Amino acid sequence: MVELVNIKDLDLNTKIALLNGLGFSSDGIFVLDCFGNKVYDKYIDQPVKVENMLILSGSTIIIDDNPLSIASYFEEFPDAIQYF
Amino acid sequence: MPSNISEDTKDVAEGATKALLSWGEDKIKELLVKFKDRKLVFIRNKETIDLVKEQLKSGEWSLYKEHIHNTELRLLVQMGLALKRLENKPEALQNLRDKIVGKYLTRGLHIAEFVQNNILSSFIARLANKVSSASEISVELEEFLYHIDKYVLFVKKNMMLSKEYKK
Repeated sequence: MVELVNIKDLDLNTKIALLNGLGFSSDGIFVLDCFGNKVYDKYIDQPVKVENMLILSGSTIIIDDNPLSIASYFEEFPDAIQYF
Repeated sequence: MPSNISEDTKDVAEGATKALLSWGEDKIKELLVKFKDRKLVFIRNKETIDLVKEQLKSGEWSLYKEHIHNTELRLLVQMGLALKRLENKPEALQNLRDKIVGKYLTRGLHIAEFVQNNILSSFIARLANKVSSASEISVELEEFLYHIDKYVLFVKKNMMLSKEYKK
């Protein structure tokens, strides 16, 4: 069983510490990769804001919290839906 | 400002700051280990996930998924169902509309709106009367959705139509 951990109410520093632990960082607004480039939500082609991010498994997928991105994730990883 | 008021203000400010959660290093490490073992994911709003899950369980989606196989069209139809569920949440509704246009342009939004306005189900019913097999429904339906702007005129609510269009 996969545990769902809600990060909505975490402070910015804790969110950034989580990102750092996964090899990412932040400029305080956007999620950045290890080269300092903005991470784009691959399903909507938009940069992901720390405030709105979800961190999902499958080679660490960071996406924006919106129905289109989440539905796209479930289309790509249909087995994942059982965990949510 | 009297000193006691100043202290009160400080307490309120600290309380507001503490409303946001903060995790220690050990807790973060523990969670990251679980994440890397695929035993945990970090979510932001269960409501958004539930919205997507509920529409996948809906009777409407059960009908549509039988006939729509293209991934892009499947997503846009799902987004039409999501738009319908968000109709009483104007901000979330507009946010999703913007996301759809950002990724799939106006054509994508039109496909979603076609579903949102309950026209797709009627369209499939009509199509079923015209064709001879389920696979033919899929072909006709996907062709129609791909070229939706060729077949459907989208007008804004309360928009005055010219006499020519009314005809």
